[in-house]
Amino acid sequence: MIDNSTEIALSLQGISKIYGPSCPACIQKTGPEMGTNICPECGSIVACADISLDLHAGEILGIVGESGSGKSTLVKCLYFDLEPTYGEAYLSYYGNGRLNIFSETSQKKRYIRNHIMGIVYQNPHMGLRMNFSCGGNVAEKLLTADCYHLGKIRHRASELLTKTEVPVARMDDLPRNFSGGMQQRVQIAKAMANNPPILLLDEVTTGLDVSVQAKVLDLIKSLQWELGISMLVVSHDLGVVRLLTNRTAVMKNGRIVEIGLTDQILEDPQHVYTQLLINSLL
Amino acid sequence: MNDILAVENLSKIFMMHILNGKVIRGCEDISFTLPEGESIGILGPSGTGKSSILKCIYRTYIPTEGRIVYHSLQFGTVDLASAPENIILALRNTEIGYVSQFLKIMPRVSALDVVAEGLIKRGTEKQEARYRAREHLTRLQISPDLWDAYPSTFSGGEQQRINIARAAIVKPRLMLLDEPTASLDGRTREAVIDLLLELKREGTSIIGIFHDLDTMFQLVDKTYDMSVFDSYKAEV
Repeated sequence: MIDNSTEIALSLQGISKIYGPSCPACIQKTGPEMGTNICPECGSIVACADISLDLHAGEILGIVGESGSGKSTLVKCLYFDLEPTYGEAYLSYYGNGRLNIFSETSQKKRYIRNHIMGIVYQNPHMGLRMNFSCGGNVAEKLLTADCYHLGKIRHRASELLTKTEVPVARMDDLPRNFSGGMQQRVQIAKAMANNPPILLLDEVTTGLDVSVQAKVLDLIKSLQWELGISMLVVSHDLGVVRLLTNRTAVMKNGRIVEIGLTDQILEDPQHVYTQLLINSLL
Repeated sequence: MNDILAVENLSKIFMMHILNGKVIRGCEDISFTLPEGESIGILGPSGTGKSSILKCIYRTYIPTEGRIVYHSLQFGTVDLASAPENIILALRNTEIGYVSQFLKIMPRVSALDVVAEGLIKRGTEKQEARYRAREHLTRLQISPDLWDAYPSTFSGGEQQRINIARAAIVKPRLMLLDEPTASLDGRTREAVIDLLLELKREGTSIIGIFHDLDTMFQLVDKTYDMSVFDSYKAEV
């Protein structure tokens, strides 16, 4: 549970996701020291294990790590796309921070997803319906958050698209016909539609060319600046994390190996893997 | 006067795992105190760990040993060497300023907004913050032509003054200065010294590293000499 006197928006406690039969040795025999995610006893894949961290209100927290380190698994567990094997998560905006959101009913989970959280995936195909207009995509999120007035929906959609610099004239076009960067900005508009206090961003700029990447990053920064949304930013790119975050967690083989102030992680990395990561910077 | 900061037996040792556990000494067994409103200059040849001390105080480096006792307005007595990150971030936002040797800031933000940012974060109206930023830029002799340009394109001396302006505008209680006048000429250096002296008169305590002693003795009340320390000892 979250103590209400602290300014913690989201608290993760011991989250693990294991694929396969899973045995008592799974957690012990995997991880960065073992250099593997695969349990030698039962062959289960430990995607992430024993992840505990706090996201403070209004903070952007970065999660970095190589592909396969369990970053996306963690985010997907939080958005209920995946069910964690073990662990608890508490939201200060839900049940006074006293209810483990993973043990709620699926109806309550839908409520949390629709009213308290937004997500932007690396692949716009996961976050958008490509055959619905981009206004329709934003509307979908608003409908799930109990906003049914058509006029209001259209007004909010055009407001969001303006904010994310998608030409409002193209509101009725299909995202399928948009460039990658524009699709990503529509996805951000959709994620923001219900004014979520928590936004999960999973590799949002990966695969975009640098000028478009700059635009998306500036947009995220300005949203945080203006609205004070708490964000979890997952990226394998240290540049993105340096630009956006104050604190960073480093993941390797499904574990958090180090968490600290972003400038400290970059200038005084403690863990072997973090040092390797920093020294791999171009 | 009460001490605002007391550094006690501070050491910073870097363990380079990727160089097979090579140990590099940053600074060793540093102790000094700083009374509130006063300023101290750290002296010593290049490579003796002067910047490491400042970075430990700002917690860009995690100290290996020792304590850094800071008396904050918000949280009372805090050991900066071990305080939780959110306390450090809050102190950076409200009480402790740091001027690094090189400007590291957001790309694609105008000089004016870079300088105004700290005030806006603390809740000053945008208009008022920009007005104050203009005052600081004028005072540090940054040409008005540059105010809406991006500092990443500026000369070394201009960047350094932007760096000082953004830290000074919020009037921190404790200011850490790492070679703030290194790439400045005589006239602009005077402007910077003038601004720092004004901060000091208004109560800011300062810890500084200065390459020229002239500037240093205009600003500091006492010095801490590190020249006895030999940093080239590296052990495997």
